[in-house]
Amino acid sequence: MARDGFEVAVNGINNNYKHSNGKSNGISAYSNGHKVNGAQSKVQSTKSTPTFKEHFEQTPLGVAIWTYLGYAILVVIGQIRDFLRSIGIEKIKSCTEPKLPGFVPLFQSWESFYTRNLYRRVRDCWNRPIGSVAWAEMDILERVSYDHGWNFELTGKKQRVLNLGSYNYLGFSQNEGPCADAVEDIVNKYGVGTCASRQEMGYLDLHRNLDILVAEYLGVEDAITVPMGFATNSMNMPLLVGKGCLILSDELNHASLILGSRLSGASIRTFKHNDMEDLEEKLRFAVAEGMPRTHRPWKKILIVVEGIYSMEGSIVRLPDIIQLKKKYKAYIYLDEAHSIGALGPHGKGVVDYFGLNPKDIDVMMGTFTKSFGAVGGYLGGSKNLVNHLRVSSHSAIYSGSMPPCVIQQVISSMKIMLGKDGTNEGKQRIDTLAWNTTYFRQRLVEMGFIVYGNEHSPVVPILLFMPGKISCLSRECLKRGLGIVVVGFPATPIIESRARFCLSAAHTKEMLDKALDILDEVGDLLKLKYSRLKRQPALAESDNKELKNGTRNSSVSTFADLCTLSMKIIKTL
Amino acid sequence: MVFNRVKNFISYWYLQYLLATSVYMLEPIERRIFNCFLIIVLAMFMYTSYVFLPDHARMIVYFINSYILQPEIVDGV
Repeated sequence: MARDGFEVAVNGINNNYKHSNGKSNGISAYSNGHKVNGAQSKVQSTKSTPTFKEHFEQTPLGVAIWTYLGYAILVVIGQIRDFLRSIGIEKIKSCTEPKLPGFVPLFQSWESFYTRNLYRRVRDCWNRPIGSVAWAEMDILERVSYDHGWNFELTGKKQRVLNLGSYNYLGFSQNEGPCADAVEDIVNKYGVGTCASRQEMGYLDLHRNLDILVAEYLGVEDAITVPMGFATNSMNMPLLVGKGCLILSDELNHASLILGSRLSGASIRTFKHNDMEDLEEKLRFAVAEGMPRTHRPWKKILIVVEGIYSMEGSIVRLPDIIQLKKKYKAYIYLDEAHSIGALGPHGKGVVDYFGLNPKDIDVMMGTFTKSFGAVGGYLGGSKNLVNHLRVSSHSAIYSGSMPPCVIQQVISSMKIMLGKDGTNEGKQRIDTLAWNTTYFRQRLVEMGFIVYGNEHSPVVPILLFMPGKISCLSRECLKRGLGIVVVGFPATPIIESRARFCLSAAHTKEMLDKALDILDEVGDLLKLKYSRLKRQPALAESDNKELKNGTRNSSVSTFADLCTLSMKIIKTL
Repeated sequence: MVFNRVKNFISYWYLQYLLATSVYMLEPIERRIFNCFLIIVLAMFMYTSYVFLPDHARMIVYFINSYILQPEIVDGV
């Protein structure tokens, strides 16, 4: 989705969003002049909130044209290849189904066409097997394909690369340190598996301790933990809403939220991404009109949002949503999979980032996969809510409970974050992550890439647009020792393919500088620096000094260097 | 030495062409076929414009001039 490039700079909760279509004075102003200040008037906040700066630069027209042309060429050539396969000139190497009359086809036509003809050609950029712990550096096992992406073989060699793709925001995925030692002790004491579900014999005292610790970390009354992050959403949302309820979910929500919403049987309406006016309009319509045919009032209205959206890097506008929910008497379900631990001065997520009261959020959900180096998820809220979930949650009844080693990893890392182990390592990790985020984003914007998202989010997507550049960037970065994640269709809109970096507290400044130099060089080589905005001034004074002296040891390539590099690439094609 | 520099320069722009049209993702034989096809189409385009464009341009100029000097009479009364 290409939006108009607008910059939203906000100070505090009583904010004035300047939208490009002329509406101002916050979320409840209407263009016919009826300015209603109700949603804004009653909030008092004594803590200082950060400035809210999000930026989504519009796609340049020439780039969009070339991107569509590239996809058109690939689709035409794919159709020709499919035709050759169907008449028998070429061997069919993909999964096919026998065309039995009266049976619904197994494979959808466009998706399997895309996988067979576009994704298959450059499959070596994804699913790379890793041979070590996924920390700031990792070992990637080399693979080679002799038939252009249909089959792969391992060569046996390993390559040590910088890791900018793992969700490791606080750096707890280490295999040594206090967390790993505590996990070893617990495995010696409790074994590895619990051999039962939570409601049968799998409820250990460790589970109880973890629930209490998570509730204390979030600032809510009680919490329940689930052994799988995806299942936390998909298996527990049906218990909260059902038929006769309305779910208002952001259009870019994660697949687990979509699956949970559909399984619940409630009516679902989506609102535009992070657009508070659209959400308010839909809320007003729902409250005024009620259910579609009978016009009875909805039993419950649930607003489902995420803390950080991982494909855009944007942060939810939580203060506005809380005001809206109080005004229209709805409930909030906040999925903090990426933001717990990564945002906020104390690492307590997006609620901490805005300085709000956790009791305002009805259901706080999150996962331990990203920031705490474990697996699983949690659901936190009032005691009534958690009691209900304990009794009737599908994951508590049917799935095996969380293994003791995973619980101990979460307990140790949360205790470090809360400062209960006696050191200030938690604070250090949060500060390192915040510094890394600001530095990395600033340098990327200076270089000229189009970077999406909020300036404080540790998820940094840069836009690539053209399908050829997706695979070229991934391979060139791997050759130079940088492992990144590139994303194309169908996870993103078809012309907005991107490369997504996940920063970590484990990255040192040298690692980030090395990564930025590689990106600089490859960005020049592939002409990825699309941004047409004014470059921001340099971040720190030390950078300024380097620029003035001319001793900055970045690889600002000359045109001749780029030509030699492109010669090397073409020779390997 | 100069030949090397020219080769490098052409290879840089060849890479940009490969990336922009996503021919980079195709297999080698497909790439060769696509390049031949493109060269044939461009050659035909240039041949046609060399043969027909001067006459066509001259006729356009002639018609515009005749329209300016003698405006068409509509409903002569």
